[in-house]
Amino acid sequence: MRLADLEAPALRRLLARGELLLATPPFVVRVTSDLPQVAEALHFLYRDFGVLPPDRFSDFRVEVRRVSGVRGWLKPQARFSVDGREAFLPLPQDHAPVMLEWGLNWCVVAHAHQYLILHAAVVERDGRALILPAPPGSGKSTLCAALAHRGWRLLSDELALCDLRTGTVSGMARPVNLKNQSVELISRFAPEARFSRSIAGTAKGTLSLMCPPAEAVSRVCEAARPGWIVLPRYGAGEATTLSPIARTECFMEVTEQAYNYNVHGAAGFSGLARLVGEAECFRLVHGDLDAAVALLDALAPQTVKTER
Amino acid sequence: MTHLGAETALWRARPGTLSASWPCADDGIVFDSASGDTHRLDPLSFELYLMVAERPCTFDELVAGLFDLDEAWHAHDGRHRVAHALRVLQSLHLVQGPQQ
Repeated sequence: MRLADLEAPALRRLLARGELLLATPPFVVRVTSDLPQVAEALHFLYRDFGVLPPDRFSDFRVEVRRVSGVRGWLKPQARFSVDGREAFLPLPQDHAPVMLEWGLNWCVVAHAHQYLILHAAVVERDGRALILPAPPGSGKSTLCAALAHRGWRLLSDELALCDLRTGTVSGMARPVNLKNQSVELISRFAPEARFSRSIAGTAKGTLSLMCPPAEAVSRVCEAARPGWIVLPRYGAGEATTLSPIARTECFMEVTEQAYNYNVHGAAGFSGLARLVGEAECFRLVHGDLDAAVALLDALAPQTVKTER
Repeated sequence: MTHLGAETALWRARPGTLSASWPCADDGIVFDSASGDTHRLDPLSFELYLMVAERPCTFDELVAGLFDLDEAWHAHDGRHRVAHALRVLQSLHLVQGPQQ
């Protein structure tokens, strides 16, 4: 069953009872919440994701609940917890949808050490992954959102899951987190893109979450071979350039964006060497979204499928 | 004779180090599992590392493997460069020298 198949009251009931098992492959998340903002956001953003029977196993058990007591009444707040333990400081209730997104990312980064996890956006075309590892503010989510509307399949705007055994890359095709002016930029670039209501005053500014394209969600279990590693840097007003770089240079920069490289030791080193060795490596400086997408698009020209 | 040790003593890669390199590049990456550190090495240092990782070598063997010893100046320069690179590799705990 897809989440969209649930009526809003049924979804709220499942959330209140802790019986919503959301399939975000490769993980299953049990979500509990008494907040209407969370129900509304899930219904809108995760409509194409699967929902599993409540008695099934879940990898993470998360709760986003209202803070009770006088303080919660005066200044409504929400708290996020994992397995009953509070993970972050409470945030305003309006921030609950992004708190859930950040919390889910935290769950993966803190626990999913079967993968080498890169802080990177990833999209795919013809079975090859375009990986964009970068620190915050480099424009990777914006590039990822734009590419996802130009024939690339969205894998993730934030976490690249590298399977050290197979050498493949996957993502969860979850909503794309867009900050400040990026929402307007993507709205102009891809008018068909759909966004959650904007949430002002977060630690990252005003945020909106972009719905993942339905096709990306339906193909979320398809991993990709590494194709390109592009290190992006946003430079307002700068010329947009894509330049090849040495694999050794790329390797060192990717280790800085790997959450758990140190956890994997020698296996992480060998796995990353394989990943970098299989990919072509570039540095992208971008000041113009259309120009950047055109350069990245040219890495893998779209094949036109003809019916016979 | 160099101050790094007798020319007949052997240099070797530290146990637990791993390397990666790719075609069309002379430099490379070395991982030290003891510390978890990863180092990008310049072509000369990387070549030296690969030589001692393949088998323990004397200082003279390393110089001879990398420089043309028939030319006096080349040999002299080579000895200095190899000595310097070995010192760096030693400080990174990627190779161990005669005294270790």
